[in-house]
Amino acid sequence: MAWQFVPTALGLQSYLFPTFTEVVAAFRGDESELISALWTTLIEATTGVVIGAMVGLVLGAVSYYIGPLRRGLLSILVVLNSTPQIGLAPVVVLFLGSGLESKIVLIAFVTSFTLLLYTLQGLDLVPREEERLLQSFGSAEPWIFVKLRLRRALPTIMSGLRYASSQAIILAIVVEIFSSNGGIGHLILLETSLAGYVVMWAAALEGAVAGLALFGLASLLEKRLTWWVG
Amino acid sequence: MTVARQPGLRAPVPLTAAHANEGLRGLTIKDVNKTFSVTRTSTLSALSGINMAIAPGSVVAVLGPSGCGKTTLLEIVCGLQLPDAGGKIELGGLDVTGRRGHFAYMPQRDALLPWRTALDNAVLGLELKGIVRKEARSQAQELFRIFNLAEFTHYYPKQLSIGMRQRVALLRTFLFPSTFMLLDEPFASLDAITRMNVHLWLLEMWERLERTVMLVTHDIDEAIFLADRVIVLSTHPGAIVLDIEVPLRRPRTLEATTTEAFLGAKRRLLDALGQQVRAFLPTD
Repeated sequence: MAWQFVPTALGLQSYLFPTFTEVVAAFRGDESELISALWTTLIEATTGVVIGAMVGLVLGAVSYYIGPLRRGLLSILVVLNSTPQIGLAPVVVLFLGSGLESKIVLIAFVTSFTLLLYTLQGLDLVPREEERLLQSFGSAEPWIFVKLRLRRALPTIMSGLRYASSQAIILAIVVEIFSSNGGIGHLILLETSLAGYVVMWAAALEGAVAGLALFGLASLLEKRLTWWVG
Repeated sequence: MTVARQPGLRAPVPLTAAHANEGLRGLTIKDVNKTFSVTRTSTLSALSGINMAIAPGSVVAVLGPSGCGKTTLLEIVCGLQLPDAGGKIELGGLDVTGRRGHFAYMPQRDALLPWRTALDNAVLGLELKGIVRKEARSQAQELFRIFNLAEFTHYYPKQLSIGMRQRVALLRTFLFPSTFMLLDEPFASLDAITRMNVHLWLLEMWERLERTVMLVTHDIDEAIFLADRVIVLSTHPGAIVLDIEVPLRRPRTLEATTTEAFLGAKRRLLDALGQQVRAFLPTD
């Protein structure tokens, strides 16, 4: 709503700050470009998150049992978090080019460390009594892991997944702006240089939609897997 | 001494082949000590010189104030912790020190998994022992039916009252393929009236399904009401200070709690426990 009225109210140049209806109209006109950009970015982010999540989960599960590995991975994580992730963009693009692969790899890399952290935190939350109960049955540790520890860790892991999803879209778009053949970031950059601000805003809107969509997917998954919480 | 049961009261229900094959076994606790190191130089003696022999088919209550090592003792018996060197746990003559899976253990809180229904929680032990879920469920279903809990099988823990949760946890413990049960303060979280009901329910189950029970509690009345024998543990270190037979006939009824025999036992236990309290009272 505000978008519709504020620009004209503030007397902003309509070619720099189009109103909401004008932006939506752009979808009618340039839809093929906008749709393919959205699709590209979504593919990059989703693939990256899925791969990264699986890697992070496995690493978390393994390093839960191996102390030195856990400490080693977590110290790498600290270093990683101190580096602006965008700083890694040139590195990936240098090695993997401007296509989808470079974005997917970077997103997977970052996501795996996020999920590693959340997985470890989740696994630490097992109530002692439940652990003792299953141990008293004489069960082997792999069974206890699957039937108890993993389940108890799921709520934490899922919230990590939600966080990683929103991170992923932002990262994808930023790397696309830096260097890309397609995607929302690329489109934004292109349209800016062509002074096609309406399409640019439309692309930005898409970015928000993509972020919400991925976040929404992650939330749905969370609901399905952790329905028993609370 | 094996416990005399009133013949023909109700036929025992072995429930699983595992239970029937195993039969009732006695427990021997030999020279169990447990020390924990608190700081680099000082240690805490949680248990000291515990020696106990529990007859097959009996109910033994271990009574003592909190912190006297009762939970530690149970954990050592079921293999979750090791006693200090020289301690031994023998089940039916078999050395099970530090070995897990020989006892049906029930921890202090019900430990029902929130993502499983009451029925699936009850079969947890069977499942983890390798029994197929379908088979396990039908055994459990039978037990739920016998004890009038059939309508609750598909409830989730958060939908059950606390008394119900304890009953489900007890069913889980009864279903586990071992005829020796270790119960760690199973009724501590129940209010007095619910506790009475669950006591009677437990006694009923114990009459029907043959088990040996070692029960840890801080409640004197509960110990006398449920057990054939009560052993009192002191604190710091945990050692046996009294070991009495409960002179009440089975099956136990609520009326028994007001008889002279009951009060006599209670007096003796209070005296032993009272000495514990005096240790902490100011001395001037």
